[in-house]
Amino acid sequence: MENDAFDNVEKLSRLKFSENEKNTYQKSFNNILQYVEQLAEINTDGIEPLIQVSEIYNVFREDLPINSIGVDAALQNAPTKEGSAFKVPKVIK
Amino acid sequence: MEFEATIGLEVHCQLGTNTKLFCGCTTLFAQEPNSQTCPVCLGHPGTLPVLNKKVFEYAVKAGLAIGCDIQKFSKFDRKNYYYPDLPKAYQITQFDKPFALKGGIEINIKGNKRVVKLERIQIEEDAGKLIHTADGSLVDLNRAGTPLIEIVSDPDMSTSEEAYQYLVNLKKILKYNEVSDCEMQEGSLRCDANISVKPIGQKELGTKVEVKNLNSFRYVQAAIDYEIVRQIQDIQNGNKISQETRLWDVDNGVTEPMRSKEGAHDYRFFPEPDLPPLILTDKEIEKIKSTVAEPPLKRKERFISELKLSEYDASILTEEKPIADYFENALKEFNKPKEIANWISNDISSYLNEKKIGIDQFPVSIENMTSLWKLIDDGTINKKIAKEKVFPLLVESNKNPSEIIESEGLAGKNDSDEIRKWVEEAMAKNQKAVDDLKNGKDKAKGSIVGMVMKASKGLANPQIVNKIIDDIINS
Amino acid sequence: MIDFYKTSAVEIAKNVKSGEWKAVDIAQTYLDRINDKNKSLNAFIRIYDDVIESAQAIDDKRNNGKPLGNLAGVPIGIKDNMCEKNRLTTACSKILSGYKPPYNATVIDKIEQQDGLIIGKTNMDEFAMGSSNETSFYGAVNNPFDTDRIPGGSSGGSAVAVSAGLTPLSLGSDTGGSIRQPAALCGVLGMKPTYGRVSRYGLMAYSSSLDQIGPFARYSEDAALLLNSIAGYDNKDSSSVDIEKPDYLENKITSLKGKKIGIVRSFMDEGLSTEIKTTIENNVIDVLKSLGAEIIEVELPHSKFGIAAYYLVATAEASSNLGRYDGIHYGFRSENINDLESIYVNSRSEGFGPEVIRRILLGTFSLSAGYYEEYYNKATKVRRLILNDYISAFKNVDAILTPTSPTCAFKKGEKSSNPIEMYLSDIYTVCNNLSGLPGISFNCGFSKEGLPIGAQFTGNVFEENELLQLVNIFEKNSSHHLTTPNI
Repeated sequence: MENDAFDNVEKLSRLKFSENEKNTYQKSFNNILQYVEQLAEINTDGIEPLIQVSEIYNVFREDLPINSIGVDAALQNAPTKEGSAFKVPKVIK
Repeated sequence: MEFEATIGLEVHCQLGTNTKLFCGCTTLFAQEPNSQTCPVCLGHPGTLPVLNKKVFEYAVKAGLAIGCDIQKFSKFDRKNYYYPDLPKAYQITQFDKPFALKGGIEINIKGNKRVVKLERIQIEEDAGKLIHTADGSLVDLNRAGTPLIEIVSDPDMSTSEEAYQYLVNLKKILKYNEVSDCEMQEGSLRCDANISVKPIGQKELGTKVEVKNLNSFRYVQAAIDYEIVRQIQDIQNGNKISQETRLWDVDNGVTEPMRSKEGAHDYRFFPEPDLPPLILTDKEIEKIKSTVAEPPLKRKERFISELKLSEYDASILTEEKPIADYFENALKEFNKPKEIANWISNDISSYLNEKKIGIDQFPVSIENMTSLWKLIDDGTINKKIAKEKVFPLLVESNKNPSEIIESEGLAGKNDSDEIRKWVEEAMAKNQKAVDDLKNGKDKAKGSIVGMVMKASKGLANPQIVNKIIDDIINS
Repeated sequence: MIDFYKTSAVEIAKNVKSGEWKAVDIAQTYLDRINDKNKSLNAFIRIYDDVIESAQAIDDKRNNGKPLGNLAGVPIGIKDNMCEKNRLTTACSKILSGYKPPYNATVIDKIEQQDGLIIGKTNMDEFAMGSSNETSFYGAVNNPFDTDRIPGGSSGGSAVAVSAGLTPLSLGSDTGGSIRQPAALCGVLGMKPTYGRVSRYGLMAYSSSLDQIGPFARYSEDAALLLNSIAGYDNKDSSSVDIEKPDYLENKITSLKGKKIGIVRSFMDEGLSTEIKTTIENNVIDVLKSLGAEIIEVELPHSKFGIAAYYLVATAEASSNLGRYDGIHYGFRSENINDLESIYVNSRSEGFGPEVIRRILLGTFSLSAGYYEEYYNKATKVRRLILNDYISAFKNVDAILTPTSPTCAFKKGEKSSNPIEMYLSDIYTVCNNLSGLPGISFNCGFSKEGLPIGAQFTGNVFEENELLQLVNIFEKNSSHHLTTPNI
């Protein structure tokens, strides 16, 4: 796989590598890609993708409120918070 | 070179359910930040979505009301992207198999009726809200997971006026069907506009610019007008239009490019493995169809053609469904459409405006309201007294109008002898008017009638008063 | 009172229920054992400091005249990817350091409803990604049969907990073999139920369409006891299936007359250690035949593509499921930040280990524009072909017997540098996940080096009972499962 494509995947994944890491990841990545290439030899014309094995449909819940867990519980794991909200560095618009 | 614009609109409409799309948290507006959250809408590890049945019913109803082809098979997909208001880092939406395709919204530009075509409607979850402060951004996830339908039009409009009408009529249909309150101030209805321009006659569309942050229909209109001019000027100045997202700057009345994110978006849509697909039968579709309201424009036309109402009256009556319903329910009791229309558009509307309430909270029952109109119609009470004296008491008490009239002594005076006395007294006091009348100056009649009404405390039947005056003058 | 290998969970529950034994005593006995042995094994990464209190609460409940549930006082280890309210749950990843879920997984609620005694969290490969339990943020787990060797993964800690007698029962999760492979390598029983049989609510998702929670046990009856408690429809998991569940402890069979057991010739040849092959032939197939079973050859022609299809499907879903670990709302946030983007990138790059990163990269790639059709979508079609193979096979057989793992427990570090070789550890197990079918791995013998060898029965959908019964009758006619590690 080309460098550009790998860089794109790195960026889409919100990851960042040192040159060394990048070489290692790219190498194993290419090995795995090469391995999965074997799927190309299977004829899958007219085969429907299988996404969910249960193949069930129409699972609903009623429109009934449940209690919220409360602001304290909602924020208990937040790395940073202010008042009743999560806080992040300013998102520039 | 002459240019023409191509406009498509994406409308996000919040469905009026009690709870969120995939969890039981409530969807109330303006609550303490993060007070309407649970592990599911906070995107905690291990949580799973379960679809709110009412969302699907409302969505299908909206789709049917807009004339869409409801899809018997639809499914959910994940749209992957990172933003602090999206705690799972993906939005659950519908990608290649939305529940509704096609459909259209009728518009009428200076008498030219046509239908603006839709591409699709999809169900999706809303993100949370960011509040920007001096030293950071605060994340409130109360809105995260709120049920939305996104209504995507074809690029089928060419002026801001068309876009405006499309939105007005779309909103009316959604409100008519009670699937959304469509409150733009509360974010229940939001609109993005896709705008491009091209030389007239050119087949392929120009480069599309998306404009966001349009918080009212008037802003949509203004932003479209601004963009069309800007894009034409840019092209005429030899510049290329770049495909971008711009924000409407309300204060300055211009659009500004949003800080461009590096690289093009790649949302990596794929089928949501946590939600089974949706299947609808013809029977289920028919069942929901039976609950769809008559389209507001159809209703308006029916009022004009069948009830001989003016375009103006019909517009007012069909502006909101509860008003049209009140009108038609009243009509069953009192078959004088024009009279009812006048009452609704004047007296009742003034009252509702003053109290800032909708007609669904109007205190007078249809039975009592129509009784009053019948009493006017048969001359039991005169209209002026009904409006000025009875109506205010009626909205206070919602009592039977006959009782009010009796207890307040407001019944019309129809006794000819009694009225003749008042007329004769008035004439005696105003010889000039009598002379004028005899000389054919009909205008003079008014002052005599006025005196009679004053003497009778407004209760004399004006028709009888007029007739007696005529009799005396002509005798 | 307790023999850590011979005392079954069924026996503990029975005696605690009747008041014969005190839950507190059981708890203390196991805590002492863990205290003594866990250091050399690293199976448990957290033992709760209120276990004795919880056990006392169970005893109190009984003393107050209330009936106890089916897991009364049975110590249970929980894989570190199942959420427990206000208790650290980290999927053995740095990125979830300090994370305390605000809610319980459904399986946790169900165990507590039956008065089971959860004693702590077991080690695992980070986010259940691995076949050797070497990718854990908390360090590798040692195989009790040879502490230089891996226990298998990803549920290595839960497998070792039972294997070494630290608990009679534990829960694991299985996405491509993560219960069955470590069960095989540690000489215990491990079951992946049918997809949809056990609620996934509260299981930190690796691959949503493949993940399934299941039990580790020494005895099939104990596995049945735990499955009885955790199986069933859950309205919090839309993929859980709303069908009746049997009592897995009932109706034990005494003969295999009329049973048709499928074997897959290709699974027994290429890539399989000869020692495992002969062990299965001599110790399992012969026993099954002697009990009256008919052995029938079946073909699963697409299963050789299982690993490739699995790695595309699983990593695609994982790349999305793991997007939420972004340093904003919970878990680890890098200190090396100056803006929003750096929170994302640095928290994730520092917080995830290399195997997780490899899989996120592959999954992101297979969903990305221009590659979706060729990779992710192709894999989902191959997935259907794999399922179709099983549908055909199950027209002729009641269950399919295969090896669980191509090798016995290997040395630590042996396969760490070659991901594909590591991935191939799951070659006999991934197809159950791709097709949703239940699988059970059980001990059927030992290698010359004294390492456990596992065999696997695959059943038709929702035929967990069939599998438990097969293993149960096998247990009665062999004694391999009674061989214990010398620790």
